[in-house]
Amino acid sequence: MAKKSKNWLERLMGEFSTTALVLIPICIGINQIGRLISTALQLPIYLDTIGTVFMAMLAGPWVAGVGGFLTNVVTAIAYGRPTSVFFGIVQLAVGLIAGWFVYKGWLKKGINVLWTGALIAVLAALVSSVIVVYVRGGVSASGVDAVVAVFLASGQGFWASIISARILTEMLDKIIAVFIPWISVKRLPEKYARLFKYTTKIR
Amino acid sequence: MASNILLSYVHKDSYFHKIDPSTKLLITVLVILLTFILKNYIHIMILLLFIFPIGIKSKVLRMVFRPVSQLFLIFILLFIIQGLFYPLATDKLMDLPFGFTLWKDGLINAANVGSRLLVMMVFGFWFVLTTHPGDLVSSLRKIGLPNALGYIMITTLQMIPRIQSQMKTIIDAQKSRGLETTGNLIKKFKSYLPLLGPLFMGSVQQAVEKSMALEARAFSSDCPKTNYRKTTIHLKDKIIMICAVALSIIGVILSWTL
Repeated sequence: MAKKSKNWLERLMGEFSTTALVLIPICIGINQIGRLISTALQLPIYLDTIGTVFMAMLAGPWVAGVGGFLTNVVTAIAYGRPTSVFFGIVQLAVGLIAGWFVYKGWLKKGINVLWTGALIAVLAALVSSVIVVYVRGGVSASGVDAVVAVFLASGQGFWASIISARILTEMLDKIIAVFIPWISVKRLPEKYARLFKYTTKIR
Repeated sequence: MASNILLSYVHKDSYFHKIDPSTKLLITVLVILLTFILKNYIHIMILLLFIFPIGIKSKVLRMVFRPVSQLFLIFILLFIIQGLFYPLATDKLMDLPFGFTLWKDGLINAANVGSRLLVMMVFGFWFVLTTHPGDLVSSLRKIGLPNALGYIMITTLQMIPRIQSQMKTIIDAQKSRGLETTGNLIKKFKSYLPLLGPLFMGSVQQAVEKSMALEARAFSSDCPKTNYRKTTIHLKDKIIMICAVALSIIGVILSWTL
């Protein structure tokens, strides 16, 4: 959409309305909560991109990408973990791709939630594998390591093990991370939905 | 409202608490860059030595090492995975049972990554211990950080504890309506939607209300904004910045020529 316009920068800045800007901190909060609940319910997934996808559905790819990246910048500042900034690239990719699917009107059909989630999962797995190998030597200190170990022990190569273990664990995570915001946006009262222009691409 | 902000900052009256946040940010970023540029783990560990004078001068030396305990598990896994499965391994150290081989260059790579993580973590934590996020944003805005980004950074720090308490309310409310949050995996997954649904609806409502409140205070107008927390870049900040950059360049040259 930015390409078509002459002053693409203005169009891009237009995406960042005050409502969209206010949405970013809230969705970063949701990203954090997703993780909190899954630990509380003892689920084997993170759900830390759920707010990013929600942003994508309300405010489009650019806001979601920036907001996703900022999730990790802010956690880095809050807890003093500089390595989390590198993983912001994963969030950026998830936000952009989810927003792009929304923009294309893919998510009007319920069944496409599944494919979108799966594609996001593969992309996130690829990006995060590269980062995890270069920044943390392939160790993420979570349940994924166990899956990686299984693949490695079965004689798979280093990269193949890390990528396939991540695709496996991300798949369920990302499908849920698309489904929950999707159903929330579908059921959002009209009063609020009309304030976010991307909701028309879903409802 | 300080108690409602997500904060690692510890208030102390020290030299490094007083200097400008962007100076400290520059030091931290330089250290992180150096951990990637320096030749090997010995040089990266020399970098770690710098935290001792800086930590003592900041009066937070003991606290700086607090997050290191989280690294133990990572280190163990790191040495196992890299030592046994390093993809570029050529230099064999010894044969292990069950057909595994321990690679020397894998272990060296693990040491490189491990020392990098350690140094990044310690300096990153030093930065947040000595820098109030409000000061950081006010200082960065002087260098040209857009207002919107500054707003997002500060608000998020307040938002996270707020949404957490909101979540707790929702969980309690749904439990009192008979929602089961325990049981097998499928039951747990099913309880997700009634928990997150209200959170999403509530957050959209909040976003709309907040944006109205902000606009009522001329948030998106172009006029100059004021800061609640004020910071100034003094001459000593500039001197420290130049020294830090110079030291880093010398460090890189020494690391690769010696």
